[in-house]
Amino acid sequence: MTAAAVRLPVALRLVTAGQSVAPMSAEPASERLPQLPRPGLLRGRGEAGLVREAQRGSEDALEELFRRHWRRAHRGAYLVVGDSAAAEDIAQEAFLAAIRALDRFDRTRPFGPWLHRITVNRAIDFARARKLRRESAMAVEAEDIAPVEAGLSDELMAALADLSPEHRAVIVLRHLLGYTPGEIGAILGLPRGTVNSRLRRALDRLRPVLEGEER
Amino acid sequence: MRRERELERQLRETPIPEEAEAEERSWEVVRAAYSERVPVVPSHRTRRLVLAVAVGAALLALGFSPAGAKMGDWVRDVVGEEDAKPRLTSLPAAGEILVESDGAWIVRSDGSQRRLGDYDEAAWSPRGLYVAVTDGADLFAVDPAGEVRWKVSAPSQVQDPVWGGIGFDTRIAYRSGDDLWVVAGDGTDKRVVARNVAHVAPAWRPLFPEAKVNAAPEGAGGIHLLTYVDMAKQTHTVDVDTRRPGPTTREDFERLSASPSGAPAGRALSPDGQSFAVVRRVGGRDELVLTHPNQEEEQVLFSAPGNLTGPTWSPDGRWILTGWPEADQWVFIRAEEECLARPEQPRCVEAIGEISSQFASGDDGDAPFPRVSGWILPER
Repeated sequence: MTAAAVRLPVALRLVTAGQSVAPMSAEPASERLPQLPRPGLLRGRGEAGLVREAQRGSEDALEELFRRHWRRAHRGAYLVVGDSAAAEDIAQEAFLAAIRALDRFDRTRPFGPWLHRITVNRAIDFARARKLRRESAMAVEAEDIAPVEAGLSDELMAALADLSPEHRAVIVLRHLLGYTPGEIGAILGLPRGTVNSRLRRALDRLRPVLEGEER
Repeated sequence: MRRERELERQLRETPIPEEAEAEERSWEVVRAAYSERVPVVPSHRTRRLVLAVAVGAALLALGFSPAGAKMGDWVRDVVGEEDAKPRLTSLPAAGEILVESDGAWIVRSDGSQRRLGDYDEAAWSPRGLYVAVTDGADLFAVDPAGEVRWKVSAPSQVQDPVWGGIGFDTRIAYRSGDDLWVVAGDGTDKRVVARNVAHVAPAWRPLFPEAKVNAAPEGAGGIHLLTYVDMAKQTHTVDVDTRRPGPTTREDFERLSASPSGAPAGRALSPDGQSFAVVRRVGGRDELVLTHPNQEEEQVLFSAPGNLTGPTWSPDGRWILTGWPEADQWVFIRAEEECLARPEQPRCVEAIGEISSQFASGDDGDAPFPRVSGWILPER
């Protein structure tokens, strides 16, 4: 017990037998961080545990994984292909592929990057194929990205639509999903330098629109 | 940088037609496919635990950059992958860590773990001699061996216990339902101090150690100021003994209610009071940043896709612990000068993989991701 602890307490309280304990002295100030609201059991569980449970047949664990990752995967696909129905199919296919590969999944690795790799590569394939179909049919309507919703400005939508699917993909991976260039390179199978140059080029193309938004 | 932030905001917020409906449709398809799958019982195998790319991000981003740095900063390099330790065999610094997972646990510096019991939440007493733990509508004080010293009950579930005070004169604050309660450190004098409080943990003043100058003289008892947020998101400070209001600062507000979710932002002041460790959201990833009060410069210590929890400083201020639920890892980051200056050195980052299973009480090895409640050097 420290010297401070044996000083006469100002607010020492009477204690009845079996009710309390020796004085709990303290230095000033709790440095403890306030706690986050406690989530439900599965929502607080680590992903490795969820994957393990899903591998063993827990639908609840699979649903928790799905709910954690669906919206970002769907949004990522949508921003690459610009078509909500196609994005739904792509994200759905990515999850189905994940289920097919579930037993082989190394749960020491994060689930999200694995899913995003499947999603974004499928989105690029879809956008490339559509572009080829469109060019072969001589159809020139701008439909890569449909500028119909509020949120992204028409100018930004048009600027995004002007980018190639590969450039849109790096923008999405970097600025929506938050990957670093090295991680993007691993996801797309590209050298980091290529990723960096695509990012710079894509941002250069978007810059006039973004600067306009700021004004 | 503003351009990138604006782009990120628009990418994140733009509406997608029938997004919710698409999610439900896809879930039905995925669920049906899953129900047709035959689960395979996984075999034991050598696990290569991976501290994924985030380590690289941690190491490379260690250059100081001015706050609000220009656009080039968003293109950061990253090192590939490094191994994480498969077991928590020791802590990198002295002290004991209090953990909430499958029950409340204490981890000692030699890596040994003791489960205090099947509790929901836990908080150290200010000197680490006892732990306040909750179980449903009950609040207990237990010693580090798990022996219950006293118990009080509340009308509904007890949440967010925080233990503060001075000398012998300590208090534990906790929420129960919409009410904020306080009980003395010996389990007596339980009372409500505020009603209609938000579901945000209260905090004892001083919120930060540098404010110790405002605390009562050592051993003299003192004023027990508690800061909390009400349902109207207003921040209040109250002397819990007299119920007189105390001063509420901008810092209180930022500390308790800055986060959009209503949860407190991940922020911890170093034991020497010289710098903050802050977890912040940047795009789709979290960054652990070292900031210095009254200085513009900041330093990204660690960056990872998904969420980071904590941070928590070691008692000696040499290490910062953050949790990375997506990778099921605890990551210890050395915050000493030699690592800040030369991040490529080994021993600047230590990661522990499959951390959840290490706090499982059952044979199935499953447990919620372990949340660090505090890292303290107990005075015993």
